[in-house]
Amino acid sequence: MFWALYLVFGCAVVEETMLEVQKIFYFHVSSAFVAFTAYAFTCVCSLLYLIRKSEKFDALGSASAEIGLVFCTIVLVTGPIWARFAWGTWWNWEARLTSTLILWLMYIGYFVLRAMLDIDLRKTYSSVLGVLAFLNVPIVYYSVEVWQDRLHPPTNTKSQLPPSMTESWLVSWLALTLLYVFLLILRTQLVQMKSRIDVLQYDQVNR
Amino acid sequence: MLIPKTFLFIVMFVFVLFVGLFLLSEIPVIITSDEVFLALSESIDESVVTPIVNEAKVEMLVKQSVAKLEQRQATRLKYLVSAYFAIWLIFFVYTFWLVRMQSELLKRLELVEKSRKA
Amino acid sequence: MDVIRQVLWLVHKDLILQFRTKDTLVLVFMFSLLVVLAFVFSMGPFFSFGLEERSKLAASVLWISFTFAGIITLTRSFDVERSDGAVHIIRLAGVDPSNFYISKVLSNFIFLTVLEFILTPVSLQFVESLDLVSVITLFKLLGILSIGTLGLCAVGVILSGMASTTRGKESLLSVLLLPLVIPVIMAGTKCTVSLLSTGTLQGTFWIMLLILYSLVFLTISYLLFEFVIEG
Repeated sequence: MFWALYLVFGCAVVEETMLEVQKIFYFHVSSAFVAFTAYAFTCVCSLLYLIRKSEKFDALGSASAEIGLVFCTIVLVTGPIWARFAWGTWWNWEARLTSTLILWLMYIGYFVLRAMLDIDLRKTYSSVLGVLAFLNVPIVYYSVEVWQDRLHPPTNTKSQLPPSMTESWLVSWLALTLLYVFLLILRTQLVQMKSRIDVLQYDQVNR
Repeated sequence: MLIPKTFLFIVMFVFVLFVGLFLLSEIPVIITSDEVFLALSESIDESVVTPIVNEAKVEMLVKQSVAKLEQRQATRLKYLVSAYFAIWLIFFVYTFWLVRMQSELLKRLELVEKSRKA
Repeated sequence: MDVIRQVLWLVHKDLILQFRTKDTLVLVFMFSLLVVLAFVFSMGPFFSFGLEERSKLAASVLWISFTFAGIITLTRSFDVERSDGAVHIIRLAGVDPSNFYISKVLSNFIFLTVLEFILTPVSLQFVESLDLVSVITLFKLLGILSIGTLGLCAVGVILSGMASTTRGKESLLSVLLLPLVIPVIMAGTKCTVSLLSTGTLQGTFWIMLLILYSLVFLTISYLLFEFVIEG
C-alpha cells in the first residue's frame, strides 16, 4: 500500500530519453488502463450481485466505480495539460479523450442514480446501470475513433518505445494498479461499515 | 486498515514543497556561460574547415540559443510538474475524503454502541 | 404463441392510452416542434448556409429534438405504470417482465416513429433543407431515424424504468440516458448528413453501428429488465 505510493514516486526518477513532458504519459495512459479495469470489475461485480444478491458484491462494485471515476478524472485532467503542451489547445476532441469523457459522464450518472434511490432499490438498479454502462464502453471507443475525421498526430504510445521507457511505463502501471487495489479494499470496507452502522441506527430508532 | 492521517500530511507537505520550489524559483541553470565559452573555443580549435573569423559574434549566438533552450526546458518542466501536481492533488483529496469518512463512521459507531449499552 | 399475444396486448394497451387521451401526443409533438424552432431561432436564417452546413445543422437539429422527445415520451410512459402501482398489477397478471420490456420498447418506438414521420418534413422545411431531399431520400432518412429510435428506446426503457421510481424522473433519465446514447446520435447524424448532402449513404459503418447498438442493448436490457420491475 505505502509501497504503491513509493513506486509511484519512484517512477518519476526513472529516466528516459525524450522530452521531459513525455513523462506525463506514464500516468496518463496507465490511469486510463486502471480506470478501464476498475469499470470492468464493477461490471463483473454488478452481474454477480444480480445473480447472487450478496451485499459484498454491491459494495465492491460501487467502490470500484468510484475509484474508476477518480482515475478517469486524472486522465481527463492530465490529458488537456499534455494536449496544451503538444498541440497548443486544451481540448481537441481527440478520440481517446472524448471516449474518456463519455465514460466519465456515464459513471457520474451511476452515482447520481445511487444517490437518488432508497437502499433496497439502490443496489439492484445501480448494478443494472453498471452493466449497461460498461457494455457501452467498447461501442463508444470504437465509434468515437471513426467519428472524428481529422488527421491527428498519432497519440498512440503503444508503438515501439525504447526499453528504458517501457520499463518505467510498466512500473507506473503496476504502481497505479496496486494503488487501485489498495483504495478498493479501503473503500469497500468503508461502504460495508457505513451500511452496518445504518442498519444499527435504524434498528435503534425503531426499537 | 486505517491510514494514519499524519502520513498523508507528510506526503502532501513534501510534494507541495517540491512543487513550490520548482514553480517559484528559477530552473537551475544547467549550462553556464563559462562552459559555453570553453566548449566554443574547443570546437573552434578542433574545427577542420576554415577557422571562423568572428569568434565573439558566434559566442553571442551560442549564448542566445542556450538561453532559448533553457527557457524551453523551463516551460516543459512547468507542464510536467503541474500535471504531476494535479494527479497528486486528486489522489490526496480523495484519500483525505476517505479518511474523513472513516473517522465520521467510527464516531457514529461509537455513538450507536454507547446508546445500545445504555 | 403466448409471448407474442402478451406483447401485442400490452402494446395495444399502451398505444390506446397514448392515442386516446391525446395529451401525450400533443405535448411531445409540440415539444419537438418547439425544440426545432428554438434551434432555428438561435442559429439564424438557414438559407444563407451552404449545402454541407445545412445538412449538418439539419441532422443535429433533428436528432437532438427527437432524443429529447424520446426522453419525455419514455418518462410519461413509465409514469403511467408507476403511479398507481400498475406495474405490480401487470406482474400479478402473470406477464413475464421481459415481455413487458419488449412491449414498452415497441409502444414507445411506434409512438416516436409516428412522431418522426410527421415532424421530419416539417423540421426539414424549417431548416430549409426540404428541397435537398427527394422522396426516396426522405424515406431512407426516416428509416435511419427509426433504427436510431429503436436503439434509443432499447436503452431508454430500462433506464426510465429505473428513473421512474425516484424523484428525479426526467432529469435523472436525461443524465443517465444521454451518455449512453451518444453513439446513436453520432451514428445517426453522420448518416443523416451524408443522406442530405449526397443523397446516398457513404460507407456502411454507421448503419452497422446503429444496428449493432440496438441489438446489443435490446438483448442485454431484455435480460436485465426483470430486476428493474421488482421494485
